[in-house]
Amino acid sequence: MTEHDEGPITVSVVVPVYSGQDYLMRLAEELDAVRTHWEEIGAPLSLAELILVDDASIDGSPAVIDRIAERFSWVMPLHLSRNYGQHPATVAGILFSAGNWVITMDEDLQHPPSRIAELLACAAERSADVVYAQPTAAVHRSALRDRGSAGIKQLISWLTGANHVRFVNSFRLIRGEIARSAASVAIHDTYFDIELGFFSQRFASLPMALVDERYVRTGKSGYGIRSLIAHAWRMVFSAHLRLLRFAALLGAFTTALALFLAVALVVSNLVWPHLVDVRGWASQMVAITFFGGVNTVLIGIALQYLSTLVLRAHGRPTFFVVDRSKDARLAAFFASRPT
Amino acid sequence: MKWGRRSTGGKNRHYLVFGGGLVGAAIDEAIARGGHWQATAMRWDWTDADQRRAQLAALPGLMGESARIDIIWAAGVSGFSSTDADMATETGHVAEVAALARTLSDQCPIVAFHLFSSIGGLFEGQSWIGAESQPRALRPYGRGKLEQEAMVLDLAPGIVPRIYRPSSVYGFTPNGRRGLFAAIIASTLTNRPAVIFGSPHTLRDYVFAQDIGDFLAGTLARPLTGETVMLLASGKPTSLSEAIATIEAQIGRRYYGRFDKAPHNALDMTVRMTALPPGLRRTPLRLGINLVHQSMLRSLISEAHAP
Repeated sequence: MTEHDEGPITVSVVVPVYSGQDYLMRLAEELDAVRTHWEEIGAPLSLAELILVDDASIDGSPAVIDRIAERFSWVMPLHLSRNYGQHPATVAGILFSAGNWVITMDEDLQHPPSRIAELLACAAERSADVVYAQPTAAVHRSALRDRGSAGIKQLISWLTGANHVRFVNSFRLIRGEIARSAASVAIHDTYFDIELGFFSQRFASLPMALVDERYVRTGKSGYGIRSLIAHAWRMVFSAHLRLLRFAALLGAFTTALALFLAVALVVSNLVWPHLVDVRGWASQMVAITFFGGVNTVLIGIALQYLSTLVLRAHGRPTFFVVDRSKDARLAAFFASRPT
Repeated sequence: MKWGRRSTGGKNRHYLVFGGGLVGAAIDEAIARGGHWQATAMRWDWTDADQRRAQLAALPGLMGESARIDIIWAAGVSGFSSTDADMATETGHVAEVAALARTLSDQCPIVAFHLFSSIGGLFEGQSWIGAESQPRALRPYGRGKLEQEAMVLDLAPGIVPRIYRPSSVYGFTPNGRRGLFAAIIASTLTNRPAVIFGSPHTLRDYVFAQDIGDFLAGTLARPLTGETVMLLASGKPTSLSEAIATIEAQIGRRYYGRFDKAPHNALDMTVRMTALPPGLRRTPLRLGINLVHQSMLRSLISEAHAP
C-alpha cells in the first residue's frame, strides 16, 4: 500500500448553479459543517472541494460564488461562458473534480448536505458505484410535476432497458473515476445518467425525504419545465432504444408470416381456386406482405447501425477498468460508526 | 542556450534562456513572437565543463551595459527516475549559472533569476495543491529541485529570484523531449503500443507549454513585481483515460498501450485553480491536444519533404 492510499478518501461536491443566490452561502456553510464534523470525528473521509458551476446564472449567483470562494479555500468557482443547461454544467464540474467520490446536488438545499455520509455508507455497504437519493414522498408537492417526472422516468426505463433510470435524481454519489470517465466522453446531448450506465451496472438508491422548498414556496425551480422536457429528450436520444430491436424483430416476424401466407395462398389458389373471385388478389397480398416485412427488417437493421454510431458518439466504451480497492476502508468505518 | 538583447530609449536589456526542451523552446518561441529581441544561440554543453565556463565568462563582456538582465533556467535532464548523482550534476549546473548571475549583478542594476522547478517533484502524491501546500519530496528528483530552489532564493536581495513550479507540461518540439501527449499521439498515429507510467485513473494537471512560454515572455515585458514562487498549471485535474479519449477523438483512431503503475506512478497530483498566478492563460485540454497534433503532423510533413 502506498502512502497516498493511506490518505483520506476524498469527496468532491459539484453543484450546478442557475439561480441560487439566496441559497449558496448557506449551502457552503452546511457543507463546511460536514467537512469539519468529519475532521473532528477522525473519519477516513475528507470533503475536499466544492465546485460551484455558474451556468450563466440569471441572478446574482456569480458574485456570491466568488465571495464564497474567497471565504472558503476549498471552494472552486467555475463560470461557464453561456448557459449550457444542468447536465452540461454538472459534467463540467465533474471534469474539474479530483475526489475519490463525487457528489452532485442542487443549489437550493433540497438535498441536505448532512445526508452525504449516508450515500457513502450505502455505496460501501452495497459495493455500488452510483447511489441515488430516492425521494420517499412528493418532492415538489405538486401531483402533476412529481407524477409526470416519475412517469417519464418509468417510460424511459422501459424504452431503454436502463433500469437505474427509474431512480435518477440529481442528488447522487458517483465513484470518482466513473464520474470523470463518463463526463469526459459525454457530448452536449448526452444524458449523464445514461452515460453512467455505459460504465457501471452497480446502481443503488437510498430512500430519503426530500422537499424542493423553493418550488413549494414560489412555484419556481432553478431549471424550468422547458429544461425538464429537454432532459427527457436527452435521455431518450442518449439511450440504446429497445424499440429499434423490436422494429427489426417485427420486420423479421412479418417476413416469415408473409412467406407462410404466400405458401398458404398459392396452395389454396391451386386446390380451391373458387374461394377468391378476384384474380391476382393472392399474388398482390403476398407481394405486399413480403416486401413490407423486408422493408421493416431493412429499416430495423439500418436503425441498428445508426444506433451503434450514436452510441459511439455518446462515448460508450468497449470496456472500462475500475478500482474499488478503497471500499473496504469505507465499509469498515461505517460498520464501526453507523450514520 | 540563447541570449537576447533589445534596446529601448537608449537602454539595453538582456535575457538568457537555458533549456531547449518543451518549456525552453516554448519560452524561446514566445519571446521570438514578441519580435523586439535580437537573439543569439550558443551551445550549452552538459559534458564539457571547460567549454561552459569559457562561455559563461565571455557573456558579461558580450552583453555590455544593461538596464535589466533576466536569466531563465528551464534546462535540466532530470526526471522522476533521476538518482541523487544525476540531481547533483544538474544542481551543479544551476550553481554555475547562479555564479554568472552574481557577476552580472555587478554591472547591471536589475538581475532576475527565473528557475523552473517542478510540481511533480515537490508535491508528489498531493492533491488540491495550493499556495499553502508544503513541498514533500519523495525521491531524489524532488529533493534536488528543492535544493535548486533554495540556491536561487539565496541570491536575494542582490538578485530577484523567481521560482516557477509547472505541473505536467505537454506540447511538442521536434528536437526535444516529447512529453506524454505527444508520445501517445505518436503511438496512436503509428499503431505502436507505448507504455504509460500511471493507471488510467491517475489524475494529473496538464499545462500547455505554450501557455508557460507566453507567461514568461510577458514577465520579461513587465516590472518584477508579484509573487516569488508561482504554480504554473491548468487547475483542471485530468485522468489519463480522459486524455486518451480526447486524443482518440482528435485523431479518429484508437490508442493501444500499456499502463505501468510501478512503483509510485499512479499517485494523483492536482492543483487548485485558485492558486494560479493572474495572467497565466489556461488552454483547454482539447485545444491543446489539437495544437500538439497539428504541430506533429506539420513536423512529419516537413521531415518527409526534407532533401
